[in-house]
Order: sequence, then structure tokens, then C-alpha cells
Amino acid sequence: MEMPFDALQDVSDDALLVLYANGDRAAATALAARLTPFVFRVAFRMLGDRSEAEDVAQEALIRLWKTAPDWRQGEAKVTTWLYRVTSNLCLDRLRRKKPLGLDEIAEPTDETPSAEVKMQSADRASALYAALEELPDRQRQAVVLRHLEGLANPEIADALSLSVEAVESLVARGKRKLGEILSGQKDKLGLEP
Amino acid sequence: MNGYDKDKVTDAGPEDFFAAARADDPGVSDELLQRIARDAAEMQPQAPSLAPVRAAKPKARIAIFPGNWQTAFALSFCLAVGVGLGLYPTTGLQEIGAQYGLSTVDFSAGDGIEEAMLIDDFWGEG
Repeated sequence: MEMPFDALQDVSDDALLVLYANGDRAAATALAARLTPFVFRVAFRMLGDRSEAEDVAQEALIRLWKTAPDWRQGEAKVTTWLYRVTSNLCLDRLRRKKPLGLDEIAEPTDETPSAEVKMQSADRASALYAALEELPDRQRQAVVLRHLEGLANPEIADALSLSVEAVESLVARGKRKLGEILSGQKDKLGLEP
Repeated sequence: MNGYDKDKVTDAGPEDFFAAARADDPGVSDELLQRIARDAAEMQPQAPSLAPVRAAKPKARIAIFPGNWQTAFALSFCLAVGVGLGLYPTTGLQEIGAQYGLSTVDFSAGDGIEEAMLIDDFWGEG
């Protein structure tokens, strides 16, 4: 017997995964709809590239589908597992990827005030992604998980297979480095230098 | 302490950028959603299905007999013979025994009843 899609909205991720492993079609649809935006967002923030982030999201979720029959409910959070897999997949790509320079940040083109504010925010985000690319890979991952995804240091340590102390150090150094890189961008992006 | 804290100055720096990036949801294309939903469906383990219920074949309906139809026939035959011997116990057996030169015992109907009456008398006397 399959549960209706709407009835799955309040079901936890790992319970959905067990339903998925048992052949429930609605669970497959619900999981894909729930986890795709999450995994894509993390990958995009780490890579700064939509196309690559899409590939990583698909690969991470393929690994989840393969793992589903062996998933032990209650032992680990699906999101923590996905943070780890996504981080590792991004790390592989970051090691092969050529860094994007700050000069490649797009300039605002729309002059209307509301659009200007919107563009300014998007430009700050773009500036941050470009600056993140200048960080060593592990620092970048730790900063993204801490300051963009809002994870606590122990969760980051779990996702990146590092000690909490190592994560604290990575986050602090990464943030300091970002501050240095972005300090010259503040005026241009409507922030007080 | 001169009031200058290098870490505080630099740490406060990227917060506006972090806030902008957090607010900037990259969104997901429909194409990616469909691609991933298709993967999920294709890779989904199939639920173990129950064997379909089929009507029993006529042969299976008489499977209360152990073994095959020969066994069933033999059992039926023995049953019929047993009934026959029960109905006609003495004449047939005596004739068969006589054919093979065996001595016969003369039983007649009521022998057992007479024996029982003798036993009743015995207990009655007691």
C-alpha cells in the first residue's frame, strides 16, 4: 500500500527513505522534491557554478537512492549524510576547477531603484562566491556550511570528517581571509568600507 | 590593550556578504527536479510482491491423498476390499482357505454374543 503524496509532508527524511526502499512511489517523489533544492543549494554555494552544482546534486542523490535499502533509520540524519557526500563531491570538483577571478563578477545593468537593490544583493552574493573560490577548499567548505547553511561546528565536523577544533580553525581563518578579500569590494557594492 | 582588535574588525567584514548570499536562493530548475525524480523512480527497489492466488487444479483438489493417483487408487481399492470382507466375513475367507488346504474355524453369527452373556452371568453370580 502506498501513502498519498500529501500525507508525506510531515514524515521525516529517514522514514521517507525507508518507505522509498520498500518501493513506495510517493515516497520517491516526495524525497526528490524535498532534497533536490537542499543539495543543489549546498553544491551551488560551494562551487559557485549552476551547471556543476546540478551535476553534483544529481550524483549525491543517486548515491542516496543506492544507499536506501541499507539505511538504518534513526542512526544518522539524511541531511548530515548528504552534507558529507555533497561536500566530498564538491571537493573533487574544486580540486580540478580553475579559480574564477573577482573581475568576472557581473556589473549591474538595470537602473531602477528596486531592481538596483535586488541586483546589489545579488552582486554581494556573487562577490562572496568569487571570494570563496580564493579560499583553500576545506576552508571554503567550512565557511559555507557554517555561515551560509548555518550548521553548528560539531555538525560540520561530522560532515567533513574533521575534529571540531579543526573546523573552528578553518572557519575562523576562512572568514578572516574573506574579510580581507571583500574589504575592497564594499564601496562598490553599496556597503560602508 | 589599545582598543584595536584585529580579529573583530576583520570578522565583522563579510557578514553583509553572508546575509546577501543566504537571501540569494539559487533555486532549482524544473529540468533538474525531473532528472532527479526520474533517477529516484528508476533506482527504486521494487516491493516484494505476493504470489498471485490461482484456482487449484482438479488434480490438486484430490490431493488429500498422499502420493500420486496410483496411491489413491490402491487406498480406495483396499478400503472397498475391507468393507467387502466386513460384510461377508466367513464364507469368502473359508472358501479361500479351503482352496489353499488350510483348516477352517467354524464361526457362526451370535458366537460372540453368547460369550458375552456367559461373562455377564459370571459377574451376576458374584
